[in-house]
Amino acid sequence: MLAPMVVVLAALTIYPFLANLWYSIRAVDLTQPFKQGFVGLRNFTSVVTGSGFLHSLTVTIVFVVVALALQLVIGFLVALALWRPLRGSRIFTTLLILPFGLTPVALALAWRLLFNPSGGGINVLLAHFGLPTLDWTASDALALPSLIIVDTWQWTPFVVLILLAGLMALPKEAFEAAAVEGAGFWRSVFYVALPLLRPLILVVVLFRGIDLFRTFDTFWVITAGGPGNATETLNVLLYRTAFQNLNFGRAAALALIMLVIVLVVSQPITKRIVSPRERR
Amino acid sequence: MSPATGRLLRTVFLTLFCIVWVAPLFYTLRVALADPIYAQSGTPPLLAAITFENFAGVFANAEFMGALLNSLIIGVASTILVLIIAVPAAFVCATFEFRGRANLEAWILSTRMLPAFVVVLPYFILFRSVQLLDTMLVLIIMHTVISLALAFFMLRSFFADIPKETLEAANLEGAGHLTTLLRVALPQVRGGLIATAILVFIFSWNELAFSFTLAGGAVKTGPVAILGFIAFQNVQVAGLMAAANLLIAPIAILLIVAQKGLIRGLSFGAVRA
Repeated sequence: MLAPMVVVLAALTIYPFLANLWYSIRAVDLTQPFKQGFVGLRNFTSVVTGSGFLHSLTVTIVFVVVALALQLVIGFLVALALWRPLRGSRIFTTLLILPFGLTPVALALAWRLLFNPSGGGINVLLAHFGLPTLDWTASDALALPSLIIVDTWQWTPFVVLILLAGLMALPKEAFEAAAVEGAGFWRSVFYVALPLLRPLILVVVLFRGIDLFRTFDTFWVITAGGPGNATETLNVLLYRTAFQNLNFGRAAALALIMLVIVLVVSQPITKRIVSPRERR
Repeated sequence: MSPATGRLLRTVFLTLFCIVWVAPLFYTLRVALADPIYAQSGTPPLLAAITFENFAGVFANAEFMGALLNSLIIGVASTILVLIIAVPAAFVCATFEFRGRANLEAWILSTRMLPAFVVVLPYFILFRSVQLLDTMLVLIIMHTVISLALAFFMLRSFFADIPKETLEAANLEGAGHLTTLLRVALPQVRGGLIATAILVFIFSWNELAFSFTLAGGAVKTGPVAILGFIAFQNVQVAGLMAAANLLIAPIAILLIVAQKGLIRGLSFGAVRA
C-alpha cells in the first residue's frame, strides 16, 4: 500500500535532485541549444560571484527573519488575548482563517492596489487623517518592508491559531501552582506557558521559516523583485535566471545552493520536532 | 487589574486586530462593487456608488471563466489522485510499526521544504522534451505531487485517532488490510477525509509557480489568468478586484466548511485544533 507513495516521492525528490545536479555542471542555455556541454563548476562560481547573489541572499534573510519575528510576537499576543473564554471569539477565529487560506495571487493584487502611491487605499487613508503619504512598493527603501507587512498580515493568523491550540491544551495545574506561589499573569506566561509551548513554537518557526524562504507569489505579483532589484529574493532570482534568461545550467546551480541552505538551516529544528515523536 | 477590565482590554485589542486584518479584504470587495470611474475621479472607494457591473463584466469574460473551469477540473482531478495515493500510505503508517517508517515519514516531510522552482526546472525540461508543456495533464500531475505530503500527514493524524481495538477486531474477523481500510477505517475518518480533500483542492486552486511555468499559454488556471489582466495597462482596477473576489469566493466558503481540519493539515498533524 506504500508503493505509489514511494514512487511519487522518488519522482518529487530524487529525480529533481539528480537532474539539477546534471544540469548544474553543464551549459544548458535554451537560447543557445547547440552550445551544450560539460562546464565543471563554472555555473556555481558564476552564480556565487554574480552581482545579484549576495544581494538576493541578504534580501531573503532580512525578509525571513523580520517577518518571522513579527508574526511570532503579534501571533502570541493575539493568542493570549483569545486564550480565556471571551464572547464572540468563535467568529474571530473563523475570520482568522481567511488571510492564509485564500488565493495568494488575489490577495497580493489587493495589496498591490492598497500600496499604490497614487490613489491606493493606504495613502488615501493617510491623507484623510492629514498624515504624510509614502511611496510604499515604489520606493527602494520601503518595498521590502511593504512585502513584510503583506506576509505578516497573511500569516500571523495562522501563528495565532496554532499557538492558541497549544495554549488551550496546556495543563491547568501548572498555572494553578504558579498562582498559588503568587505569580501574576505575565510571570506565569513567561515562566510557565512559554517553556511548555516550546515544541509548538519550533513547529511554527520551521514551517513559517521554510515558507517565508519559498515565498514567490507575493513578490512576483506586487513588486516582481523591483524596484530595480530591491526585493529580488533568491526565489525571484532563480525564476529570472531560468525563465527570463533561460540559463538553466546556472539556474540549476542556484537551485542546488538554495536546497543546501534549506537543509542546513532546517535540519536542527526538524530533528528536535521529529525525535520526541519517535520516542512515543 | 480586575477580570472585567481585563476582558474589556482584550476585547478592544482583539477588535482592533480584527479591523486591521479584515480591512484589506473589505477594501477589495468595496472596490469591486464601486463604479469603475471612481478611480479616475479620485473619489474614495467607500463613497463611490455601488454597482454590480464589474462582476457582470467578469462573468462575461470567457477567458477568465474558462480559466476558472480549468482550475476546477485540475483541482478535482488532482484531489482524487492525491487521496488514492495518500490514503493507503497514511493508513499503513498510522496503524503499523515497521522498519524504516520514521525514515519514510522524514522523507515525506522533506518534500515540504523544497522551493517550487527547484522542482520546476527539471520538470520543465522533461515535459518540454515530451511535448507535454501547457497541458492540463502536466498541472494535474504536479498539483498531485505537491500536495501529497500535506495529505499524508493530515490523514495519518486522523487514522491515528481511531481506537486500536476497532481495527484489531476487524482483523480478528479475518478482514485483510485493504478491507479493514475501506470498510472500517475510512468510515471512521469521514470528516477528516473531507477536510483533507478540501485542503488539497484549495492548494491546487491557489497554486501559481507550477501553473504559470509549466502551462499558462493554452491552459491557464485562475491565478495565471488574473495575472494576465494586469499586463494590460488600461485595465480597470474595479474589474480586476471583481475578478480577484470571484477567484477567492469559492475558497472562502470551502475554508469555513473545513476550518476544523485546516490547522491540523497545515501543521502536518502536529496541532489537533
